[in-house]
Order: sequence, then C-alpha cells, then structure tokens
Amino acid sequence: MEMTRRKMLNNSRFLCFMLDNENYCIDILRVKELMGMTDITPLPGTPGFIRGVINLRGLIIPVIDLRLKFGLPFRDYSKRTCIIVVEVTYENEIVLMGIVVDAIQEVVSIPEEKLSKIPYINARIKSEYIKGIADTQDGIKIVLDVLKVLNEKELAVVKETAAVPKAETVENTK
Amino acid sequence: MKNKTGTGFRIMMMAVVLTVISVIVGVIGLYTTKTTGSLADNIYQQDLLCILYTDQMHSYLQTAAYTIEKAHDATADELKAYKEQVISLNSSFQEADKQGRLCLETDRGKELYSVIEEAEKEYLSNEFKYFDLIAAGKSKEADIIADTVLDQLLSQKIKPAIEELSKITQAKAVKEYSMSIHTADFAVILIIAAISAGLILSLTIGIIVTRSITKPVTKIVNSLSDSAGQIAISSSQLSASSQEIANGAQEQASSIEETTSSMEELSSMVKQNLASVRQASLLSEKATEASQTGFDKMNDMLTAMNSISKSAEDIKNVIDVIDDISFQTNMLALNAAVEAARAGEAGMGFAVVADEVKNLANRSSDSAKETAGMIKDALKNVETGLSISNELSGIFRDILNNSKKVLEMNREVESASGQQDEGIGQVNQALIQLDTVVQTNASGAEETASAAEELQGQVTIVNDIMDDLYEVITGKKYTGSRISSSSPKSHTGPVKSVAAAHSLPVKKTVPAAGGPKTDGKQAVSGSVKKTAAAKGSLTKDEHVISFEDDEDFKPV
Repeated sequence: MEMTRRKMLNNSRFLCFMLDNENYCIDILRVKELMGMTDITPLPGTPGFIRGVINLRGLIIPVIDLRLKFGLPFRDYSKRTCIIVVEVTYENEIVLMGIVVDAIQEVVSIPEEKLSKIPYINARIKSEYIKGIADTQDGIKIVLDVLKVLNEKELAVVKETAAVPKAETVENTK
Repeated sequence: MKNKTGTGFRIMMMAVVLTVISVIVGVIGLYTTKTTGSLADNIYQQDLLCILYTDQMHSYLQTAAYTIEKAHDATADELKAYKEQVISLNSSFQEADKQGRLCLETDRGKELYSVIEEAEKEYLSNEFKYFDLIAAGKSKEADIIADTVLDQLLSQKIKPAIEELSKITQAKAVKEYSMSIHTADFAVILIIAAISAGLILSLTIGIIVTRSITKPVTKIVNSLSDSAGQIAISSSQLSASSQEIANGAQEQASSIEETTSSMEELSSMVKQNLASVRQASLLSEKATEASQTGFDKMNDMLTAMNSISKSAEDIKNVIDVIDDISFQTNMLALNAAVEAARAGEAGMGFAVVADEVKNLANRSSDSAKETAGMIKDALKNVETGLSISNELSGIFRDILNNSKKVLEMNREVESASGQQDEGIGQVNQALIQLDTVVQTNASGAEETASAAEELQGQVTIVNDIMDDLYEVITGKKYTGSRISSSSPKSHTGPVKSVAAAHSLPVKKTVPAAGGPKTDGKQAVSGSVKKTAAAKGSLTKDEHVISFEDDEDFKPV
C-alpha cells in the first residue's frame, strides 16, 4: 500500500477519456472538475467547435466539442457524454473551459519512462496537440496537451466569453 | 267391280233388272199378240164381211135374175109377189152395198160401189119396166128389155164390178192374211229374241253379280284366314312374351329379395353410423370445450406474459436508475480522484478512497449492466414467449373454430343419417309396393297367357267358320294355306307355375325386411330354394304340356 502510494506520487497522473473509440489522456493537474452533460447555451458568432456556455455554480464557462475541434464527425450527446472542466492559462490568466468528450474512463498514473515522446502520427489529429504516447496495461493512450489544443485566436474567443470572474479564480489558485 | 255397292243391293239390282227384262219380254209378247189379233180382226171385219156382202150382192143379183126369168111366165099375182121379192132383194142388196161400202174404203172400191149402185138403180128401174111390161102383157118387149138392157147391165156392168170388187177384196184379204202371218212370225221371232236376249242378259248379270259376290267373299275369306293365322301367331308370341314377362317377374322378385337384404344391411350400417356419429359429436363437443378452456388459459397466459414484460420494463427502469447512480458515483469518484491529485501529497489517502469508490461504482455499474443484459434477455425471451403464445392462441382459436365446425358437421351428419334411416324405411316401403306390382305383373302375364290360349281357340273356330263360309259361297272345300298356331302354345303352361311359385317367397321376405336380420336371410334363402324348385317344375311342365297340345287346340 505504501509502495503504491509512493509509486503514485512519483508518477504523473492522467485522466483518461474516450473520443471516437480512441483513448486519450490529459494531465490531471489541468483538470478542475468533471461533470455530466448539462444544458449548453449556444453562442452565436463563435466558431463551430464552441458549443456555447454553461453555468458552473455561478461561473459562466465556454464549452468546446473536442470531436469538432479534431475534425471528427459530430455525435449526439448521450448519458455517457461528459464535460471535463480544465484550466487554461492565457495571457497569464487562468481560464476555465469545458471540453465535451464521449466518455470519461479512469484516472491512471503513468510513469515517466512509459511516456514516450515519439510523436504519434495520426491522420485525424494534428500532431501539435499530442504530448506523447503512453503504453499502459489497458493499451496505448494518446496524451494530449490541453494548452496546445486551442490556438491563440481561439483562446482569445474563449477568454472573451469567460469574462471577468475567472481572474479571481486564477488569483485564488495562485 | 270395285264400286262400293253392297251385295244385297247388287242382288236387288239383279232382281230388278231381271224383272225389267221379263216385263219387257211380256210387253213385247203382248204387243205382238195384240197386233196379230187386230190383224185377224181386220181380216174378219173388213175382208170377210166384204166378201160376204159381195157374195150376198151376187146372190141377190142371181136371185133377181132368176126372179125375172120366173116372172116371164108368171101370173099377175105371182108377178106382184115377184116384184115385192125383187124390191126386198133390192133393199137387201142396197143394205149389203152399204155394208160393203163401209168395209172397203179404197178409191177403187168406192168407185166400184158407186158404179154398182148406179148400175143397180138402172137395173132396178129396168126391172120395174120389165115387170110393168110383163104385167102389161107385152112379153116380147119385156124379153127384149130383159135380154138387152138387163142382161147387158148385169153382165157388162154389175157382174164385172162385183167380180172386181170380190177380186179386190180377196186380194186384200190375202194380203192381210199374209201380213198377219208375217206379223205372227215376226212376233214369234221377236218373242224368241227377247227371251234369248233376256236369258243372255240375265245369265251375264247373274254371272257378274255372282262373281262380284264370290270373288270378294273368297278374298275376304282368304284374308280372314290369313288374319286368323296371324292372330294365332301373334297370340303364340303373346304367350311367349307373357312367359318372358313371368320370367322377368321372377328375376325382379329375386332382385327385390337381394335389394331387401341389402337395404337391411344398409339400415343397420346407417344405424351404426348414427351411433358413431352421436359419439363423435359428443367427443367433438368435449374437444370444443377443452379447446375453449385451452384458449381461455392461453389468453390468461398471454396477460401473464404481458405483465411479466411490463415488470421487466420496470426492472429495466430501476436498473437504469442504478446505472445512472453508479455513473454519478463514478463521476464523483473521478472528481474525488482529481481533487486528490490536485491535493498532492495530502490527498494521497483520499485518492485511494476515491479509487475504491470508483471501483465500487464501476462494479455496481457492471452489475447493473449485467442485470440489464439479463433483463434484456429475459425480455427477449418474454417477447418470443409472447409471440409463441400469440401463435398458440391463434392455433387454439383455429382448433376451437375447427372443433366447432366438426361439431356442426357431426350434427349435420347425424341429421343426414337420421334422414337416411327414414329414406331406407321409405325404400323398404317402395320395395313392398314393387313386390306387389311384380306379383300383379306375374298374374297379369298369366292372364295374358290364358287369354292368348283362348284367342288361339277362337282362331280355330274362326278358321272353321271361314271354311263353312267358303263352302257356302263357292261350294268347294277351302284349300288355301293355313298358318299353324299350335307350336308356341307349350309356353302357357309354365307361366302359371312360375307366377304361382314366385308370389309365395316374395310375400314372405318383404315384411321380414323390417324385422331382425337373421330372419330375413332365412326367408331369402328359403325363397331362393323355392324358386329353384319352381324352375325344376317349370322344365317338367314343359315336357308334360307338349303332350297335351293337340287336345287343347281343338275348339271348344
């Protein structure tokens, strides 16, 4: 038990989710919260992958659909569809953003040595989003870099939609 | 000859013709006789009287001449007497002259008579003169007158006239005599001719009439005889036919027996059928009930299945809820894990708990999933069960309908069997009637046969009568061909026996048809034996009757 705890501390922890029958992971420290699918208020005049905004305990946060961002076909949201609320830093400000994924699987700890930096060549996803490939017991998982998923322009749009209260949260976390 | 006058009429006509002929002959005879008589009368009336009168005249003249001669020497008294005598003579002469004038009515005769009259007058006057001279006594002068005038008158005028008159009268008498003889001869010839003509005519008419009677009568006799022969043949054929009819009646009777027994069997079969059908209809009623209950139970089962599927649906909902909860739990656990990770070293223990919670949530989710799958399977099974039950229900409905139909059909068959039973009864009735008809036929055939026999007897009688008629008419024995009718007569005997043999068994069997089966069979077999016996007797009868033929055939 002590060994595993240590092991867990030594290793970086990742949240695994499913997107179009493929396993992806993101750094758990970037994850603020997990939630089921709620009503999304659509925003006009924004790119297609920005589905709209949700109210997370008083906070208005933008939600993007990763499928659409990755150029995958849109799928109707089901019971399994979840929103991962992540923290993104933009212009030294922490911005909260919801990412719609097909399903959340588990929290895994991947040791540094298992995380290969070899860029994963995937036709569907641009390699710049990919941090590396993790070879786990459950199979190969693609580790995404959340910060690189959205470019500057998009992050600006996200930030505009997120508005003021986020600064406080950024301050709070700091 | 072909005209349609009756024989009586012909004979009547013949009699009339003969009467007419005899009347004609008689009339001719009478006429000729009368002619001859009148001729003879003429001879007498005219000629003989004329001759007589002329003779008288002649004698008067002679007497007168003689008186004159006497008067020559006579006295006055005598002379007076002579004179008176002469006057009386003269009156007689005058009378004769008058009479004779009536007899002879020819010109020459009249002339002669007138000459005679004149001469006589002259003579008378001269005579008176003579007498006067005598009376005066002048005998010489008287003689001269007597010799010259009187003689001259007498010889030259009166005498030749009288002689000529006499001659004429004689000639006329001769002529009339010869004429009368001629007439008599002619009358004889005429009578003979009339008689012979009448004879010939009568003979020819008699022959013709006789022929006209005998010929057709002979013809009629011949044709009657032929017809009698034909009748004899026909009656024999009739006899044979009635024999056949009798045989047919026998066959019919046996057929009726067979039919009756068959009908009995049929009747028993139908009764059996009826019983079976009744049982079948009872069974099918039960089957209908059973299928009805099956159908009802099936419906119950269907509702039960439906409630099961509803329950499964509820369970599914519950499982969904469980799944939802486990998802939420999982989410919470993951959030806890995230929080723990973010807590770093401090959240290490919490992370473990979160991990456990997550595992629990995963397990409950898996269990829920499994249960959901099971429920899904159960639901699927229930659905298949439902569809099978539905099918089963349909099958049960079909069974129910079919068994209902079977029941109806059974009932129909039952009623039909009942009607069949009735029909068989009617058929039996009809068979009984048929049997009586067959018996009537047999007796009718028998009667026909005896009638044919009688007819044949009548035919012989008719033939004999024909013979007699022929003999009466022609006077000869009938020699024409005669058709024999004796040969087929042998049939008439057995017909009776067959009919008699047949009427017995049929009467026995037909009423037995309604009764028990064994009795009918016995009766039938008995009747068959009897008919066989009748057949035996039939052949025997034929032998016996062939001997009786000649005796039977003689007319009664």
